[in-house]
Amino acid sequence: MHSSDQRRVMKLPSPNPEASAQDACFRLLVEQVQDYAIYLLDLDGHVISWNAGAERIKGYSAGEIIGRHFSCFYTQSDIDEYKPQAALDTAHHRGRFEDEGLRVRRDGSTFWAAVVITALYDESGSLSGFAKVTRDITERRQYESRLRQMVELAVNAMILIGADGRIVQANARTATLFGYQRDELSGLAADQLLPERFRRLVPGISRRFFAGPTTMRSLGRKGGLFGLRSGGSEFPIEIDLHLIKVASGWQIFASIVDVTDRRRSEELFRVAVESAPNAMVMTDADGRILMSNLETERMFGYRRDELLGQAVELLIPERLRLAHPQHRADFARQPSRRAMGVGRDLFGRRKDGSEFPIEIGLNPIAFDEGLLVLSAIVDITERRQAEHEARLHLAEVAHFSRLSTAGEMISGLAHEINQPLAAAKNFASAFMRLARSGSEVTNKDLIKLVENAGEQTSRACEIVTRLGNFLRKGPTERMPADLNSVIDQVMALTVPGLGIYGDGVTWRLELEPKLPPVAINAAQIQQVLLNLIRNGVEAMNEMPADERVLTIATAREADRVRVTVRDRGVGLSAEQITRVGEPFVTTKPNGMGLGLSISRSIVEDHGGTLFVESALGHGTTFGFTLRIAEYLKQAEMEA
Amino acid sequence: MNTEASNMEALVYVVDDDTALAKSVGALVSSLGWRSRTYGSADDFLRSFDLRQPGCIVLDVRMPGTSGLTLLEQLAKMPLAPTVVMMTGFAEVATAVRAMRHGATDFLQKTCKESELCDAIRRAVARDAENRLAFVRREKLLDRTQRLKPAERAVLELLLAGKANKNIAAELGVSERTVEDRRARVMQKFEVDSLPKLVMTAIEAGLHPAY
Repeated sequence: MHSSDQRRVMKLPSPNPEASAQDACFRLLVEQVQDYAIYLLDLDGHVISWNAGAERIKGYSAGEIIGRHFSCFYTQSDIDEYKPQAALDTAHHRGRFEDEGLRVRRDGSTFWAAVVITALYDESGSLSGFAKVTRDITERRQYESRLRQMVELAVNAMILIGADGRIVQANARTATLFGYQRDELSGLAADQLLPERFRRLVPGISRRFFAGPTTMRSLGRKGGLFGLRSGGSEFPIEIDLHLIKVASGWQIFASIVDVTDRRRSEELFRVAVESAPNAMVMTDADGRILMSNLETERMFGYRRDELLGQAVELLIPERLRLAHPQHRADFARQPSRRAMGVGRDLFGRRKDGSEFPIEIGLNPIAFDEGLLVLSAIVDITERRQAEHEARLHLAEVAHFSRLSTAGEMISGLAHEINQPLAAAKNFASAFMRLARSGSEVTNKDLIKLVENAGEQTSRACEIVTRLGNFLRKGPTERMPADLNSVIDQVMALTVPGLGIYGDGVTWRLELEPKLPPVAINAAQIQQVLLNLIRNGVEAMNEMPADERVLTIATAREADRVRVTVRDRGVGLSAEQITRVGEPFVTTKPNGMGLGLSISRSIVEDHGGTLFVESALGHGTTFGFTLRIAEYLKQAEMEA
Repeated sequence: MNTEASNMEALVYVVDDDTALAKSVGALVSSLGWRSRTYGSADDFLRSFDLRQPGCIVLDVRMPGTSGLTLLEQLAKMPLAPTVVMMTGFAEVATAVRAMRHGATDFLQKTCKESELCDAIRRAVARDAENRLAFVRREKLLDRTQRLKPAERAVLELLLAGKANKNIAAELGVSERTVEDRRARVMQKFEVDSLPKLVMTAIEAGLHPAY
């Protein structure tokens, strides 16, 4: 039953001292091998040779083991089942015995061994003994066991499918996901895990897959693929297929993910975006529209199919389109969740070409493919309208307040105007007298008198003009202005306007030179300054004249300009400070208490802050800050 | 040459913190034929004016530092100070009353008519001239009073009290004849020839009747 070529012919080591040199070499080689236990057994199974590997793996030295029966390597239960003898019998009859199993070391510990026993025959062809090769495969066994556990415990269903389309092996998740018993899965046609309508596609897919150049395919990435439970219900899945080579040929390893939750959150996202009260537009790295919602269609007047795939600049007025790609590039360099164009007016463009003011929130979403941006767009036409009306209203109130302030100052201002007028009149009278007298008066003297009269008339004009500017309703838009020169103009009105109340006040100006311009409505800011100055002076009414000092200071502070008016009056209590600026609250017997309230409205309308610092007995500082105009521009550039 | 320049010696000081206004008043004063000098503050004026100089002051009420009213009050305490025309941008009754009480000859608004200002200055200059004459005379009389011997002065005082020679003689314990001699010397020194004239002049010289 055995062909002779299957038989290993080998001389048993003999005590013959004339053994060939070749034999000696071979024996030496075998003895040196460390990774394998290689030893010979006699016909009955007694150990008759031992190498270094055997000593390392099994723990016996050659002297201890030679002559003993090899069953000492087996566990007691194996011995009880006659496994040692069965192994020798098999090797005898088949020429070779292979096994993997637990074996026992000298110290009684066990290890997982891969064993090959080969029958040896002498030159006459009769059985002369056995060669046994043993390998310690404990580590490999552990690795395989871990791998198996990993597959078992994987959250994906994992299936090995044979070339016949039937399941060779499936992990535990496959059973729970598809609602099968574990043992029902082995041998099941894999396409049974798909609903009927997908099954006819399977042969084609398999054929192309086996034939094709790739060893990996994904199915259902874009949705639409479902799995079928044994109970008949369906659920959305994605499948990764891998072609793997096994001894018997090719098999397919399929990894299946239940994407129910993902599809649900995608659907939730879609519904949330769709029903959002804002227009939502998702753009890719090139600024093309990937997604938009219902509100976008309503707001801009485009149908969705007119938007998808288009450059987002479609939604921007033509005059702003050119600059937009640069804004997008700037955003891509430093993407963050923020509002677009802070401090800058943004406009959208409808399909019919009309424009409307908008506000945009930018949400960057980083993907491997590039940066996607989800923009939330709000139509702020109504808010702008309300702001505009509020500003007009404030302008009205502020104007009314200026008129009433001017009324209070009118006698002082009249004096200030009368003064140069009286001077001009005197110069003119002097001129007339001299010109008529015919006395020895030179032309030069006369000209000087007329010049003087003219100068004084101009002086009166200037004051009237300044008062006119202050009282003018004026445009609501703001112009860049130097606060220091605004203060100079206010002083020219206020100091005379205070009349005798200003007598004895020492005016101290601490103006920081070269202030950057601020964007203001000059008349309104003059009004604020005038209110603060009058407040400061009135706070010092009760003091001896030589102690009244009012300090007006300007300073640059980061992106703002700070203006303060400091008096040396009695100061305010903490309670008074908290009520400062409330309408109709005043510490003055004749005050209306509206000055600070209006001042605060004006400053806040300019995007600034009005503040007060005071302590009883230490005077009061009122002040405000305004944003520097160039910073407004810079903020726009960044956005 | 100019009829108004009746007193060519007069100098008109103009004091106003508004130097343009001060100069304009100065120009007007010059056109009327007087010399003028302008000052920007009361203190500047006080530092450089000359009491002996006839003329008047055109003075602004409200000024930083020493105000016009304060200056007026200080001038009122000086003998032979120049007369003052007050000018103001604010017509306030209280200020006007105070100014007049302290001897201002006029109280004008800066916007007043040119003729009002000219008249006021003219009046002030004339008053100043009168004041100076009266002052000179008073000085002279004072000098005479001081030349009286104590005995002569006693007789004069009792004469001013309205007493007759007989009573004076009794009061002083001298003879009636002696009283008559002393009275004659007093009248000689005062350069008068009647009793009423003597009494008038004595009062003018600052001797008050003892009642």
